[in-house]
Amino acid sequence: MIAEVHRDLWNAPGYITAFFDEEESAITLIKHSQGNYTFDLKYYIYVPAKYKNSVLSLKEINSNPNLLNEAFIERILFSEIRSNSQDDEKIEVENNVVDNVSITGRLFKTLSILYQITETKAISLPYYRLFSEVEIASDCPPVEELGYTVIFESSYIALFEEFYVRFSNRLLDLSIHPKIFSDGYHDNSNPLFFKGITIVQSNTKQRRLGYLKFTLELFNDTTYFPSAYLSRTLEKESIKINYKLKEYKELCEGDDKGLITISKTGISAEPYIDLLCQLNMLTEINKSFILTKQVKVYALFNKLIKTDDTLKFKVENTILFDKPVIDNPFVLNHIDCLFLLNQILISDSLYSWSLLELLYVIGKRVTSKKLRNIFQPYVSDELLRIVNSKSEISNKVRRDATEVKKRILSWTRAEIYLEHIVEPRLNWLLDLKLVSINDEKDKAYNLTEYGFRLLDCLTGIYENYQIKHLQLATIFGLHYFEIFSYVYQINVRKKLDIGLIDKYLKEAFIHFKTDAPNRIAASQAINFVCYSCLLKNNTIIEFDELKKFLSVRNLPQYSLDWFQTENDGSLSLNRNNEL
Amino acid sequence: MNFNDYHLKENPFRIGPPLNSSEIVWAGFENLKNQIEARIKIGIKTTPSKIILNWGRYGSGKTHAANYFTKTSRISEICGALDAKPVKAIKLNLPRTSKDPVQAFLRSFLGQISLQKIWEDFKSLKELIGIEVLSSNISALSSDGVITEIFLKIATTEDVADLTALEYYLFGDNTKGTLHSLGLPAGLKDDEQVVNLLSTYINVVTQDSNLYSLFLLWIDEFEDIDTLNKVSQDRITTFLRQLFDKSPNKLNIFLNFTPKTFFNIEDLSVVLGEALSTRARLRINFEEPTVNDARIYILELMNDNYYRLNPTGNNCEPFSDEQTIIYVLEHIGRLSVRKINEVFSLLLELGLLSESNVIDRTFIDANVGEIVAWEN
Repeated sequence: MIAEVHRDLWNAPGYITAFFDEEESAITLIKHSQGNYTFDLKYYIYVPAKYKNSVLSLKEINSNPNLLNEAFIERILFSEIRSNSQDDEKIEVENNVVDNVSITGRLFKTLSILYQITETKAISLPYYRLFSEVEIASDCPPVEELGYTVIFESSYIALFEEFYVRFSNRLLDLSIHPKIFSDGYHDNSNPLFFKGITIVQSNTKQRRLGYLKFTLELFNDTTYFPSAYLSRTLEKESIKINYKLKEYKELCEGDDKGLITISKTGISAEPYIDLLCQLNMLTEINKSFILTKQVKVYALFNKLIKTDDTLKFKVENTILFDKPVIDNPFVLNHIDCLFLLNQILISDSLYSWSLLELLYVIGKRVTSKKLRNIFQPYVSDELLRIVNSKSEISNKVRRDATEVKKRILSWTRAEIYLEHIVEPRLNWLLDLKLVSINDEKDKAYNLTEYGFRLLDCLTGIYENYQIKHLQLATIFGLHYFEIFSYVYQINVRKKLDIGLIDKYLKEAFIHFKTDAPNRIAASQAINFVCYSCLLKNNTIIEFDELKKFLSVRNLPQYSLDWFQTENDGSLSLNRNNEL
Repeated sequence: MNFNDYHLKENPFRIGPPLNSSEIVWAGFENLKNQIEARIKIGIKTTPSKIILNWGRYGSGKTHAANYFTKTSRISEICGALDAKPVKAIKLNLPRTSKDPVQAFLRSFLGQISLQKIWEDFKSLKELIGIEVLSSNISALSSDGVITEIFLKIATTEDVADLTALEYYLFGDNTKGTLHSLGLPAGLKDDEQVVNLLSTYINVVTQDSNLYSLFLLWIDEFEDIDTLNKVSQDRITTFLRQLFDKSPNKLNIFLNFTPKTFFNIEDLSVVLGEALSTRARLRINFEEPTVNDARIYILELMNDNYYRLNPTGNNCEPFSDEQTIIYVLEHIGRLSVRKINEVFSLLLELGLLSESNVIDRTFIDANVGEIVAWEN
């Protein structure tokens, strides 16, 4: 049932293969040029029933392929029902209508099907990209059309019929529902919008996020640790909790890998200290480790849980998974997830985000090995997408992406090297409850519902900007707390509550006092307010929102000085104004 | 038309420091001035060394305060009133982007207190307490044999011209010839030796308040420590800590800070480290001025003897009245001394340009477009 049409519908020579499916009433056009096939979902045409009478019947086309001429195809294309993801609300898939299904949802479904078909042949995932075109008509406002292109090699074409069958059958069974947030996003023509690529240089020993939390507790009694000393102290102290690691695996569906033991030189704990530094939780000053300003808000809440009853109650009653929370540092509560999810995603977006996507594409029972097999080419493709992107990103970012891509492609013993990348991240995702692990010797991972919801958010970002990673830090400034509540299904309302802001700012001035009189770091103040509102009052105020609110002196007793180069500022408490 | 027509000798709202630094004027901000002077008086009258942190946003007057108290005669007036020996006050900027920040610091220091001046100080001390007491003081107060020798040489040299070789030595000349003629080992490269040099000098000249009742070291733009790499930052803070430790008496260090936050830390007091922060409990806040503070500042400044020419009784001249001044102050957003100076300097110059005899509200409204800081 293949008709070939020699027709230059795209702007490049080639021919188009059309697949017809009587049952599905659909036509798929595949462009073929120079050994590559391009499956462009834009040209997956669903012919609605009402048009069937006005066009030649598909049966007739099947028997006489020459009828498939330009006019016919253009008529079909015009009446094609395309998806348009400009709605403010979350996009739902309705089972009976093909439209209103997001482009990226379909994209990832396509990739997932392709993976299943090619899995045994160990071909890596094909390159894909999103594109948007603006359709200008004289009598209506310009419409932006999104589409995606998957480019795969000719060796695939033999598999294509199988792909096509599976694809059309499974189209409506989508698990990703890209979430686009309300009030749109900010102006992304500002080059500051897209920051650089961030990577954490990880080590296979850095598996348990609980150790990070535990290390922070060591700073409860002292503000600094001499550099030579922290590692050994951590080893000694962690003896007390090592049995809890087993408990974590057996009772809490966690894993027990990543244990810290006692060593002569402190080398067992070193990887975790290094991770703390890379995640900007610890920094070295005067040859001592101190907590960074970023982590202090989180560290404070860890302390407050013990004394603040509201907080304690909330933590105990926010169930992140079915078993009740027990006194085990490896079992992260929602406050831990609030901080660590943000920190990990913005410090390590390239690998972590890619890993989440691959977990989806591979489907159920993903072993680390399966991930490692396709990780390197996939990340390299991600970087290529950045380099080729039509977004307003600086040349420096493109150059950096090219550099990193070169580096990644030059890994000689990739399967060993990838253990240092994939293993720790799988475990971080596990600790954050974004994936779950099976109970067998052959460890396999699945995305949890939280993991799917995170993927909804990340894919929504991709769909909105047709690029990933670079803008994550900026988007988080605008929407992180909303994303977090969506992912972990915490009931919230969105409100810029002035009473709460004032109350929590006063507290912030007490908690984050330094030698600067009547002044504290703005980021600490703002984060403290945002965290408090979310954790204690189920209210969302986003970082950038509060920053803007304070900049225009809505609360006259506070003045904000912002330093763009430092991406932070100082918040002062004014003495009473006299005139 | 020129400033004389406004009964002003020159533009009082200068934006850069004056040519003759001894003629800096302090106007308004009485509370702040009193706070600083109170600290200085305590420093003069009490013995233990102190670190004082001055916090203020950009343009709040920290550098001006540093210049005023180290370069004008104000401090001598304070000493006179207390009937105390004079204060030795110097202002240094933190070395920035330097490969060797401690050496840069030493050079800055020697730039202000040259070998000649040290020699003169020692000469005065000799007259006050005699060479023997001086020599034994030097030995006792120095913890370093080489430094003792250097200072003894300075103390015993009669003619300052003989000190040329020593001058080269202090500035890092380690050639065989110089070392041989001085009989000194190669040195002063080590940070610790630099500390010893400076602390010995400070200790000797303030000993028993024989010569000076206080050594005041004012370090400006401390936030520039951020431009140094981590190793250099550690070196500077260690250096300051050691300097402070080795000069336990009669040293007051004022550090000018801007409350800027940095990548991983809240503000620079964190960089000082525990040892210094615990000793730097004293702070002076260069607060944002209110409209009233600003009004007082402007009037005092314009009418200071240094600026006012043939006072006519209208102390707002060339402004029509105080209300006009307040009108401007209320419309330029958040106030800082720098901003006030810029705006009022511009207004005077615009007035001269358009040959207005008086600057009133009408004039201001007509020229609002020129004032960048104007907010409606």
